[in-house]
Amino acid sequence: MFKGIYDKAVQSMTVTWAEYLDKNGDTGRLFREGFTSNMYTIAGALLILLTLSSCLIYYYYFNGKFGNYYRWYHWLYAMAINAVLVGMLTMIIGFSLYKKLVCPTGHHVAMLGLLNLLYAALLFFFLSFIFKWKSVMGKTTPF
Amino acid sequence: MPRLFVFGIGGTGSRVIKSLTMLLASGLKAGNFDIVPILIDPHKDLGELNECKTLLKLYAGINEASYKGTDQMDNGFFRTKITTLRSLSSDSGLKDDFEFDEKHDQPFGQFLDLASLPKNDATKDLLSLLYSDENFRKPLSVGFKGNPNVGSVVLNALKDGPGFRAMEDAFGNQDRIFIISSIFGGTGAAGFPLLLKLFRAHTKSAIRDAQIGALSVLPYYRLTEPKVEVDEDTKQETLSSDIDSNNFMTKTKSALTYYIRPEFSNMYNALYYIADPDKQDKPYENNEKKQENKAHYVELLGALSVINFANGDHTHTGDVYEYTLKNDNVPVVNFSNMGDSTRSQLGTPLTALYLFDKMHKANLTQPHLPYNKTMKFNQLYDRQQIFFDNLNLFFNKYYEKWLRELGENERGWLPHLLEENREYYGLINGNSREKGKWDGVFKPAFNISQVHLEGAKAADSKSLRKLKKVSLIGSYMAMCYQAVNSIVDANLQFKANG
Repeated sequence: MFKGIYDKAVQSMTVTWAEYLDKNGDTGRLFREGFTSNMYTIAGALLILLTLSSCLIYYYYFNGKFGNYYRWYHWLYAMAINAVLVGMLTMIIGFSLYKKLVCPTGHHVAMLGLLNLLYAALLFFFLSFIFKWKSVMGKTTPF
Repeated sequence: MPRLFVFGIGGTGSRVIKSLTMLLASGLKAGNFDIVPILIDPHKDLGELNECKTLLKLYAGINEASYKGTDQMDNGFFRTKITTLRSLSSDSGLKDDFEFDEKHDQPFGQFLDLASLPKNDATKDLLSLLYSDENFRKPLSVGFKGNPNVGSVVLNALKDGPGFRAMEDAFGNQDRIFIISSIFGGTGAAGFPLLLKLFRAHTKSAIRDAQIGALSVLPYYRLTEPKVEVDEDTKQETLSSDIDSNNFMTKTKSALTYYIRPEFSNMYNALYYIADPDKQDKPYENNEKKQENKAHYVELLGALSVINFANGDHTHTGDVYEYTLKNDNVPVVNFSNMGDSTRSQLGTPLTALYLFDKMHKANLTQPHLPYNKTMKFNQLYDRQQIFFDNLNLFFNKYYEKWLRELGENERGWLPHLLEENREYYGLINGNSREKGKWDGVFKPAFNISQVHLEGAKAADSKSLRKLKKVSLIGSYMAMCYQAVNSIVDANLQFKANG
């Protein structure tokens, strides 16, 4: 489901699957199958669920119940925390899933984590324009 | 709208009207009446009188700008309309918006035209029995200096003046009259019975039969002893002031014997008495020309009598009201030691006005506040500069000074914490709110940011967005009113005991 948004980017940040399979044979194939189906799904789910939750918490809890978190830098903190959280969790889950494989997987997992971090920041940015309208204090955050 | 004509006579009258203006600014309402303040004081150069007039003009301007064309707003800061007698009767020839009487520059003897009387004339002899040479010589421009016998003659000329004519023209059937005066001075003590008689004997039935209330302020301060000054040429000893506060109580007692007579008590519907017998350690400076007395809580509670009168129906005559503190033995009065009903009545509006001052200042200095952007208040601050200058002037020059003076005076009135503080848990002196363990984490804290939050909630409401189309200033005032009132209601209990 999420292959479209991750696969090309991961390959461009690491190596193409063809090159990877050339070097790693069947074990590499096993990793590719799991990574492109399970790991991309997990990463996508993390990206959407965590970013949605972060937006909800930032706009409707912090800016619905408190009056002092509406400045652009508070929003930036929230976006950064969410992005790092999404990226870190993606990496942690990825490393724990593929640590037993003999072929090298770390580079792919790390790049997927980094990619998810960037996507989380982007998604947070775009969701902000939807969520801010119904927020009490966050109506004009980030602008 | 029916009107309540509030006469403030003398220095005490001006000071009580000043406190009344603050109460009205806080959103307290005088029933459904518009207020027509009328000031009577021969001492036209008195700073207190002129300050009161400026304050009234400021209030009237703020009210006009905030509520013009916004009839749907029942409550709000500065909600009660203050109007001028001159605007009600434009062709009356009144020279001033709020002043009823005219300036008399001549001495009392000249006012009576003593010089025109023959030397051994019986009238002249009678006058010399009633008045001293000092009385005749003293100029009227600085008031009656504690001589009601002088005041009663001079003020009698009021009935022929343009102020009285203007009032006769404007007075309607539903209108009422309230007279504020002190009993121990000159102007107020003379003016109150005189006005009462003039109104009850008036040919216009609306005035004659109107409900009339009055506040008679009994002694509540002391003055420094007058100094003995020796004239270097004549070696004659004179006193630096004609007013001796040691005589206040004697004057009060003699006036009260008159006030309780049935022929007098039948003329008023409600008479409110207030006093503070607590002796001041630091008396006011005995300076007749300046009279720079600080605001006093007796004036504030006195002003409350106007609100009480306007909110009730007073068909009986001779009703008398007195005020008592819950705990009299205190140097500083606050919400915890004053009367429970007064606390219920004043607690919320006065605290709301206090917070409005804080919120307004923050609004002006924080353009990034969400409602400043969404409601376009940032542009409003520039476009309606006169209105905001007036509002700032009201807070900075009058309200904060008034609050400070009340706190510094003896006895003091200090309901709120006056120092700048980020949090408002100790906002109400003598009734601190405990800070919750999770305040600011899982629960909102009690501070200015919560006021902003409530402001943003109010700005989001349908009613305010509707109001914005009619009046942007009105929507600003309504937002601030709703915000601070919901903060006060959520955090402070003025209704229950506590």
